[in-house]
Amino acid sequence: MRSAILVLLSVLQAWGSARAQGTITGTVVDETGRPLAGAKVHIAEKRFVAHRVIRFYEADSGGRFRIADVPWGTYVIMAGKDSAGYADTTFAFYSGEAVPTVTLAPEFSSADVILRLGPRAGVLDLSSVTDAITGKNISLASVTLRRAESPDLYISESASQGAYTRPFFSRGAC
Amino acid sequence: MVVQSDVIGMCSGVSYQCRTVSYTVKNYDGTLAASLPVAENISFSGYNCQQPNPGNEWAQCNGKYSTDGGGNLSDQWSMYTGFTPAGCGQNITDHWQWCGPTGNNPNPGITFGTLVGWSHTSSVDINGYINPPTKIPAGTVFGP
Repeated sequence: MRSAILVLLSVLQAWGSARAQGTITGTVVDETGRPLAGAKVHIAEKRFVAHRVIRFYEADSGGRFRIADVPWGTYVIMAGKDSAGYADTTFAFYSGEAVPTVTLAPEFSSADVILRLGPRAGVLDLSSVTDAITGKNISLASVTLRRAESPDLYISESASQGAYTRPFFSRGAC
Repeated sequence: MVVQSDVIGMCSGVSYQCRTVSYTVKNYDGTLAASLPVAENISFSGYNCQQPNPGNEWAQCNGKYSTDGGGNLSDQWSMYTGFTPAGCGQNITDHWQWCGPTGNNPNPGITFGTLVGWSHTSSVDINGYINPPTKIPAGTVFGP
């Protein structure tokens, strides 16, 4: 009986290991097609997950990245490099839903993609948000931007520090 | 855990909204807790939507999760967009903890930050900051 259980556990362990052997590789490039070194890449399974941690993988000097041990499934691949003006495409406001999607399965255990970022985002500098009547500053004002052509694609954050220093605009009008 | 940004929006590639909060983890002496393995000792309760519970993912002490070179980490709590009835969701109690020195300790260690709140169909509460509309001000510190 004990042997049978051990065999079963071994089989389950092997099955579990086999499940997690997909690999996603790729290259992050800018709007001109040049590799974007130092871009931060992350993936999310293309299904509803109520809570998750974003795990970043940094692209090397050639813009290449490799994510191993990915369980079978369909994944959305996102990236950004804020320091260079390329906002992270976590939010559809920035990506315009133009994000690569790959499916890993036993017969397709690896995928190679090109992540094209850009053009660079602009910076919305809100040095202050004031009450139109009193002229007084409103601290912690919440600011929401929506893409003009797709109002459902929005982003909302707080002007808690008085100014945004990170890219806030994306392609298209807002 | 020092809040750096608190942003909500429609997530890419899916049809639900999410709230992404980025933190910088600092030691008590103010130095950055850079490249350290971390995990979440997390519990979920009270799920009350009509749809089957879609589940969650969280950081574990398996060598895969750590702060980056600047001591940063990002956590995403999603809204149950489209789930019914309106206002349904789940409660979350999330203790961020250090892993063992090798990062492979199966048991997380000491808590350095606790997040308590809930995710509902159209808002997310993290330590009393219900967004929308209330974002966590940058610089806010969440302790153990």
